[in-house]
Amino acid sequence: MNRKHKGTSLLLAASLVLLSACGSGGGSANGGVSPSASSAAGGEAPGKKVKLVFWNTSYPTIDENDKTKKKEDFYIYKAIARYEAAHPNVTIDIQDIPDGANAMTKFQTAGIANNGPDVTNLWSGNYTMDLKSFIQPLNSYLQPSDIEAMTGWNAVTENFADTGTIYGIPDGSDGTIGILYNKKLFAAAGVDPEQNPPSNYAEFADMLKKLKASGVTPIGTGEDGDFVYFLDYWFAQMVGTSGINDIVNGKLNFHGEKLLEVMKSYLQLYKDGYVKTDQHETQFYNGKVALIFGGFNLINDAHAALGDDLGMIKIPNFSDAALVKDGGIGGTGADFVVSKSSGHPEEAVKFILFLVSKEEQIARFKDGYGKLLNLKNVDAAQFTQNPLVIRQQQWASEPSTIFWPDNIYPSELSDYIGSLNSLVIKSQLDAGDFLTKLDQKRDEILAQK
Amino acid sequence: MHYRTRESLTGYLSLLPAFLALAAIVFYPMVNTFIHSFTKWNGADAEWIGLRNYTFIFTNGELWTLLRNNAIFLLSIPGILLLSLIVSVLLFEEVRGWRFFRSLYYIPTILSAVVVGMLMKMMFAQSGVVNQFLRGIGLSDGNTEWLSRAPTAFLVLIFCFYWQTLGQGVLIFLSGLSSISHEIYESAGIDGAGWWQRLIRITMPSLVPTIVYFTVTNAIYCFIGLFSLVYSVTQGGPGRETTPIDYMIYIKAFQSPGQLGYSSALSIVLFVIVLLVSWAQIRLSNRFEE
Repeated sequence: MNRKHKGTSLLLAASLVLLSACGSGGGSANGGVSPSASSAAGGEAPGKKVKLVFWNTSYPTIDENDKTKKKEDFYIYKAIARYEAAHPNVTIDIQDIPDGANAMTKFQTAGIANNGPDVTNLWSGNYTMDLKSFIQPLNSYLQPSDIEAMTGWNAVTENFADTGTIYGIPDGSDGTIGILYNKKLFAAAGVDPEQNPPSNYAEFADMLKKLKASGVTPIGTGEDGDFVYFLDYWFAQMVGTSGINDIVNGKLNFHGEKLLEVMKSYLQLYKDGYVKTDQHETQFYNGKVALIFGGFNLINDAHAALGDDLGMIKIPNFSDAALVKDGGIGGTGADFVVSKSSGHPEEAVKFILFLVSKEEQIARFKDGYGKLLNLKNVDAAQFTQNPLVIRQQQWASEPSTIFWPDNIYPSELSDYIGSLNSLVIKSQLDAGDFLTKLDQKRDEILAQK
Repeated sequence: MHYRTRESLTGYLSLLPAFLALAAIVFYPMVNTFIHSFTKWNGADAEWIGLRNYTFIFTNGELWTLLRNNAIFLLSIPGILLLSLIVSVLLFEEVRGWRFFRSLYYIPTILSAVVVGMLMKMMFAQSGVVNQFLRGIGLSDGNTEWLSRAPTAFLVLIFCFYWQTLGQGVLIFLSGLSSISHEIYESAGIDGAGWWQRLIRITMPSLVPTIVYFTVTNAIYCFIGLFSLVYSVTQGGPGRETTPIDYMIYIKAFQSPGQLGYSSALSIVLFVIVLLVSWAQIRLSNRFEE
């Protein structure tokens, strides 16, 4: 009996150990080293080792065309090696994680479990602000000279203000979304958009008609109808930047005369058979569609596929009544953030400032990274001969470039718009109903705030 | 200590590890979810808001679309039930090549839902093999956008569900069939019962408990197990047209910041629905068995 009793006690003790192990297993997301553990190992004291976990969502670490390429040959690994050489006490543990909405999800769940990374990249604006409970405010770690050197701070500051709590460090610029087109296909249709750029919807539709008549599909878009790249611009230019803010705050509705007209015209492009939504980028690179909407991020791939046949113009204004003309969507769409669970916020900020420093931004730009520089007083023309890239940098600095509206909408609303827009372009949802549903969703989000 | 007291104490102590594990892994999250369903919770801070989350769920109209989507999957269960029955009876009858087909039908079951989903997504893409095949045999122009329209997107999802469940269904029914005594079949054969009569009069009634088990588990699956399939194939789209409740719980919890409380409330609603559906099914099947 005594042996039985001992056995039971042992079993009980083992189960308690097991449960306590389950409870403290939060560090797995950091490759087995939780921030608190790394904090204990490092600390801020000079001479002590510091390990920073960096969740990489944007720097390429795989070459689709050359799978044998070693990790050490990619820009970010070289940059980390440079940083570690200059800071012998700091080790950067880079971990690739999925980008976009998945990155937000992972960051949020890690934040709840208090085992987030030290540094990661997120989409800027409200995508970042929606996660501010898990993000370290950075004002106390930044010098005025840091802020002065770069653009895009509104996108990482609370309420998009010029001053206030800063939750991230702007990561480059996406340039301005325009139209990338195939010069050969346009010439075959007798259209020269450089000489005679369409200035409103009617002229744009006329151009597409000629392209279709020449036997080519005029436009390629994503399955969601390129709401973020294309339609959002027409929305934003018709109501203006302040109008977008009013929509977000419930002072203005999506469902109004102006935006309904935009929606109907936009849908007409689909009804007239001008748009293909299947693998649009590939189709464009293969010369199957005449134009796609895109910015700096697509120029390298498009240029590799089309060479000198690649052209670029701005998206035409929707109408003469537009409040913002001859612009486009773009700006600093991403940022670096420091997680609240980081044990080394100061070191993390230093590492970020290194990545966005003038030297490193130029280095990654030359390496072909998909972002333009967001440095003041630095001209991209010094580092590239590609006229399209130079033009992108010029466009990005023009006041007519409107900051990504989907980064201004609450992230839940942006997700909802994208999912519903795919119904609209397949004529499964009426344009008016679509706008009404957006208003309802916006009201619902405001009511739940 | 008295022998019987010590004996029962040992019994309780033996149960304790399992109870503690269940408490930590099941009961604590359940209670936590229930409590948070009355709060506005972003994962860091929670604010008590009473029944507001539940009011939103029942008034914003979204729940009915989600329930409709779950109901569509639920209504597809008889199809897979019939298919599994037919295949298992054929295998049980040892038709030619039954050993090969037994393995073949089971293969999709061992694949994860995400693998099946990704495979189907590629197959049913506009330029995928399904469209190429249909164009090849002249049944369509090969431009069908399967995943862009709700009815065809549902067809693809149900096809995935069937494809993945068939192996498991066949296995369950084969075990049910093998438990029926051969003597009954032999006696029926001597009495002059044909194949169909044996099937209707002996096989089917004997399989009722197995059919009940299969139906109940799959009904529960249709409410709580579709997430990975929907996530990998349609992501709930187009729009929210193929979004079941469990996928919406994910969207609200992890893609809608500050909505973890709402998501918790939706989880409680789903729990109650599954409880009611399972209870109704078991009640109904008890009557059948009687």
